[in-house]
Amino acid sequence: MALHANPGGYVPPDQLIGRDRLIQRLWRILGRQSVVLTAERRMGKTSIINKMVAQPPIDGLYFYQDLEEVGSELEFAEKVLDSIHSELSKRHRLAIRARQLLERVGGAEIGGVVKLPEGAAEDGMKLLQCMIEDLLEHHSGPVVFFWDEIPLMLHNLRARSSDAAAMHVLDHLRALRQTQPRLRMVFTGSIGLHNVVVALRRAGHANAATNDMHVQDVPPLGSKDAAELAYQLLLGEEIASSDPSRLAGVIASAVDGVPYFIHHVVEQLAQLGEPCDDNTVRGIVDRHLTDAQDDWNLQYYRDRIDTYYPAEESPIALAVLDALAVAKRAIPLAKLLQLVGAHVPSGNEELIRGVLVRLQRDHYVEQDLSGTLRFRFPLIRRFWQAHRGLGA
Amino acid sequence: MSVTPLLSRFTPSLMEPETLEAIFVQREALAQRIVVSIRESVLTQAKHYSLIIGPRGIGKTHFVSLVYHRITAMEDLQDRLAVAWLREEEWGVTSFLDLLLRVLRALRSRGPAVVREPEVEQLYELSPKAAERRAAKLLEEALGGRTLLVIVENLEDVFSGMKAEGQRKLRAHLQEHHSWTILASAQSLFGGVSLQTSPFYGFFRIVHLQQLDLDDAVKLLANIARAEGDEDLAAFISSPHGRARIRAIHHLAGGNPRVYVILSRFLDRTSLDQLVQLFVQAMDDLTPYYQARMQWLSPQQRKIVEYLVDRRGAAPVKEIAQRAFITHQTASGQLKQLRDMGYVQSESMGRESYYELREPLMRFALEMKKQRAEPIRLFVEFLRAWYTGAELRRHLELLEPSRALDRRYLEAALSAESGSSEDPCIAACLQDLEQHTQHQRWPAALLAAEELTILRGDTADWLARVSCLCKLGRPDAAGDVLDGILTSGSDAFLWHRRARLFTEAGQHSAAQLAYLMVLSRPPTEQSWALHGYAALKLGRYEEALAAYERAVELKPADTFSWSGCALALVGLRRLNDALPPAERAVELAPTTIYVLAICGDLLRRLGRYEDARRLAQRMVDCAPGDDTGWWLLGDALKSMGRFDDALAAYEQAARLDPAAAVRDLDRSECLAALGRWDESIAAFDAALRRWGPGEGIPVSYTAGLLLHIFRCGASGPDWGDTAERLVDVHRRNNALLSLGMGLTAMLEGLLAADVPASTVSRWTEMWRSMAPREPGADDPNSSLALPTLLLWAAVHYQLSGDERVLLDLRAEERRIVETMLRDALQQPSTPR
Repeated sequence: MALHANPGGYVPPDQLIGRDRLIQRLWRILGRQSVVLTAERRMGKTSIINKMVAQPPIDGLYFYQDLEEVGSELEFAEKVLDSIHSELSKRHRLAIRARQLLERVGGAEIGGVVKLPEGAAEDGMKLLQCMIEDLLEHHSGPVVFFWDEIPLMLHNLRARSSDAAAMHVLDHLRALRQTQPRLRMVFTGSIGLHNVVVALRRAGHANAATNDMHVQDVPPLGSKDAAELAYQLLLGEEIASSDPSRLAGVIASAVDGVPYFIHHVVEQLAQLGEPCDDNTVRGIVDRHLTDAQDDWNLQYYRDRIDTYYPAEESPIALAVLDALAVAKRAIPLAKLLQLVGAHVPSGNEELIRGVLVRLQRDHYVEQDLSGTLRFRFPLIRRFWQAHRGLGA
Repeated sequence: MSVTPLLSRFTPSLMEPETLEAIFVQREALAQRIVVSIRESVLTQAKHYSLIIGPRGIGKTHFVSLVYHRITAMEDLQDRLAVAWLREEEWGVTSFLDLLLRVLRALRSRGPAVVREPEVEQLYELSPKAAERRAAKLLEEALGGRTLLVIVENLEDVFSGMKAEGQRKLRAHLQEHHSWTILASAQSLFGGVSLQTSPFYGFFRIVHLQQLDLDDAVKLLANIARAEGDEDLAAFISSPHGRARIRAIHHLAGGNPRVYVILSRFLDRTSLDQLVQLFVQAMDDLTPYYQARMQWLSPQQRKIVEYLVDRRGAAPVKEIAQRAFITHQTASGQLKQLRDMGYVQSESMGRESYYELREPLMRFALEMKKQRAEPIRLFVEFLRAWYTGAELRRHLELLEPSRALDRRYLEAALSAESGSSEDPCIAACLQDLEQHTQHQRWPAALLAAEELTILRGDTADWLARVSCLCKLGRPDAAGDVLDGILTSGSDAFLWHRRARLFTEAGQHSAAQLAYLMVLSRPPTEQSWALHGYAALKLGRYEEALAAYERAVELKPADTFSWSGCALALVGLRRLNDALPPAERAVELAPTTIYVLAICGDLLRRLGRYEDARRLAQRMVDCAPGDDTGWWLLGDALKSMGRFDDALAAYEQAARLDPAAAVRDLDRSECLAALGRWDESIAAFDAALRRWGPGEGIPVSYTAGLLLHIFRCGASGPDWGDTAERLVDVHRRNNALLSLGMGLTAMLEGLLAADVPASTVSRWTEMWRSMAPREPGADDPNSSLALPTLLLWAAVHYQLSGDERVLLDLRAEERRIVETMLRDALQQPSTPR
């Protein structure tokens, strides 16, 4: 299956490489509970859930929605109602009931778009609950909502409405999950849901709104799958090289198996329009690590420390990452605490441990079973070295 | 009646597709790539989103227009595609709803009526939020499964208007409905697509349009001339004169196609008055364009650009910050943005970055606006770029007395020229020549050199042209160029150059004559080495040695002259004397391959194989990509009897220079020594094929191979099969004569071999039996008749002492055998 490079574009389910095992695992988990799917941006979360929606293993109702635009409870209710409206329409009896409910709360349906009256957020959530219950009642299979970018929606709710509105939605959804055994939800998002939950907790909302859900990380592709993807792209783009298999391996390894970057590198090789070798690939990657134009915006890994980490934590996070960037191999926790403690005036070891947990959740750092820590992505480590002038 | 096509400088989207295609340059591969991605988006589920980045005037609209026309002309896409092209200035898009309405409007105005008009009108009766959701639904219904190609120009403005909320809605829509493919353009990379915190981070395939280089500019202008039916102008543009003129304005245009299009009107104007008029008109045309570009900037950025207009030339960040009353950090940030947007360019000198306007024409146009009363300064600058000094002087001579203003322009330009160290046209050419030479871009370097010979015509310019032609493997053409400037009075250097060109072209007699011309020049301090080289080439070793000795006396650090001394002494067969100068050269230039090669080969010939190997190894370490070191390493190892290692070195040399047939011979010899006959003969066959029938393979190689076969066969069962294959290979390559010479040349080795006389005798008998008795007989191996006879006779006479063997030969054959025997038995062998 020769493929064309398509950095950032829509990759159809039948062109998705190397995610079958993860998808099978997700279906197994969904058999028992809902899922929070986490990963860095462009890791391929949306492609995975697109494939799940397109190719479910059993008959059921599967809805995909991108919620990044949603800024209020009302909009959320309307958006979900829109998506299930067509399903309701297929079941005439349900459609009538839905319409009655809609009229009762003063809403209307115009050309397939459900419109609720302003200020009817609470009614909207009730209507949503009611309709989901009806759907489940009249459908024997599972009903799964794949909600993409849910942390962004919560962020919008906090910014435009209130912390309470965000918490209200999360609580409502949790209640639905708890009362409807065949209802499943898949939350995905590029900014970690934990960041929003931590912020809500700091604002006084102690509910563990997602602790009934399984948190599943989307890792980069395994080296074999990443090389396979690169190989198919090299073939599809007809890129001349003396040994395409080898070159594919070099590409996969140079970008840590992140599918988006693999597409990106092959796209740039294709734009070059000349025979390529290992050095061409390394040249492209190196340029992105140091280029002021920074198409890959790796600077984000530095900037978000300031954005998401409170003032007392960000110096610790920087010191941890600096220490890991210069270390030739993974560092044992005790040694890291010692290294970082020397740079952090507070000397508060528990604070450092807390930051380490966050850095792991934010995909900067990983820890192995022996307790040693390292950068999760060698590519980001190289960027960090270059950006912070730490040398190899 | 032929109609001149519309060539719009500011709105290429108005141009006919044929015209867009006709003047399209540089970006064909990219256009094809984008077209393929759009086709894939229409014909499959995959969807591509491409963003073309480039400053104003770089050709973005031309590019997207061309892609649009190519896509809409594809019959097989007609029923599966809807196109919405949002024009350059889509002012007023402030929300996702606005964008949807523009798309719906664009769809209504194009192609089949897919949008139901009343339903669009109904949208205006809804609240904005409801209208937005309804419009999105309406659009997807209208598409009915077709793919929507949205072309958006100035995406950064559309995104800026939509703000983050609108962008998120758009992205959510695209994520939920995989029905859109997007081709967008923007002036520079902007936060809305490049920041990880932006909804569209990583969403687009980002393509930066490159500015035109000189070749692209020439093609563009020639294409424009042809599109306008002016074949004469097209021909002029492609001539060295035309290129020189375009090169002169290249730095004014800053690689911006729009500016080239405007300047294209000047190209065939040689009269001053026409030029003045056109220049002023062009500046008038450009002024609104540049003013509009200024309006796109923030007040702070505008202030910086204005300062650079006044400043003329590059300024450091510190100075710019000071003059704009802003901090260094702010100035640095703003300048980076201006660079990304194509307004300025930067150059680093030490730790400091200097910024200047990217397009000098922008300065001209903005200056003209400011200094209406005194346009002379910028026009003078233009004249200097446009005309050579000679042309300026000619115009001045021919100017009528009444043209006082023109006289002022010309005099000012000439005065500026005399006050300046260099002519800008020549400076531009020289700079390009240097850069192309440095990067070994020989075709481009040749063009620059050709223009230099026209603009200036110094000997150095002609020689640069000659060098470029040589690098391009055109020694004949290089020789012709050199002949154009050679006279009987030319100096030794030019004759030396000519001689080398004759040699490269295979004209050895002519080369010898040219070397004689070198020797006929009175030697100078600079030319002793050339005299030495010429004498060396003519085999006049004593003379060469004397000249080189004089050269090193004058320049004791001249490595090539020391090496020349060594070569002259080798020519005189004074190998031991040759070593000190060769070693001196190595001391002076311990990493120069040529110098190391001479010394290494000498050491090997003196039997100092380990020293030769070490030197060859140094060559390999210094320049692993140069085959010379590997070759000499192979020679040294072969001489040491390390045939496996030698073979590996030769194979590496062959990989680096696959065309050299001699590598096959060396490999063949090593393989023979290792008893790998099939491979050995195959390698010899390859060498014969490469060498061709016209030129004989060096006889020492053939003799060497034959001796290996002989020695091996002496202890093994069979020569016959190998010998027959060797004959067969030579016959197929029409090279039996070469084999015959090898047979006679092996006599010395044959007689010296430590084998029974009967074995030697059997060898010669075998060869005798493979050839007819008389040459010229109708036998495919008749060329071997005489050599095998001579070998047989020499061996039998030597072994038996029977004079009848010689007396049976013809007188001339007898003399040859006597000479062969004398050489084999008396002369010391000369290593190859």
